[in-house]
Amino acid sequence: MADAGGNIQNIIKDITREGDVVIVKLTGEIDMHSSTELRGCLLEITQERPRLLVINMEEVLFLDSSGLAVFVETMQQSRTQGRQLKLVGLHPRVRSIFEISRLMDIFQIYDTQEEALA
Amino acid sequence: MPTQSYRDIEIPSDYHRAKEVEDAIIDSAQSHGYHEDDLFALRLSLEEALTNAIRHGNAGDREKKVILRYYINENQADIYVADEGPGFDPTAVPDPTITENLSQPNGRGILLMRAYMNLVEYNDTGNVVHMVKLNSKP
Repeated sequence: MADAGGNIQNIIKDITREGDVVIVKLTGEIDMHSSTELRGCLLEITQERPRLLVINMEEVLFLDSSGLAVFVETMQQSRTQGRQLKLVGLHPRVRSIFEISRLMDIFQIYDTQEEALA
Repeated sequence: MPTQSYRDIEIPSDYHRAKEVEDAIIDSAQSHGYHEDDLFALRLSLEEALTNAIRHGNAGDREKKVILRYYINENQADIYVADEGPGFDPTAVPDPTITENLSQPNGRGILLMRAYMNLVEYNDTGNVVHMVKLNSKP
């Protein structure tokens, strides 16, 4: 089941900037290895103060509580700046982790990137 | 901890070594025909237990060991994870799902372990967690 991965080269697939919108496409597994580097990457991006940060998770197949912590922290950072953070394309198993943690209540989550950008 | 037919592994407080052990346990469960959802649950819970043992229990001290004792058969995976820390009181961990705690970044590991495993229990000291996952089979 493991998709190998577990490092930042695999986690960050792509970063695109469209005006004041930043789209980060992730891939692989967000675990004890990759979450620290992912945290650094996302906090760096929030320091650019984009109006909207979209994190595309369509290719994320695993997430643990260290990954949840990264997203909660990034969301707090965005909110403090009055900016928006949107998550896109949660795999059903990843979505269930958000549901169990009740984080669906505080994140803006979309099925597709197009919906998040609309 | 029981001793009969369990496998023992001792590692330093090191995430890479923890990952190797985790992969070995998942591979074993896979070879016993565990359902993909069960493999996901095992992976997640091992990740949380090992992270807690290294980061919180042993406070990242590489001199301190993490000890795993486990067996896996076609019916269940039975896993103990022990650290050399002072332990903690799991009942004192704040509920991360109550509204005022939702914006706290940390503190969801035990919640996820309890949600995904069939049994999660701690010893009295709080430095050994015992987890059981039943093979749900297709």
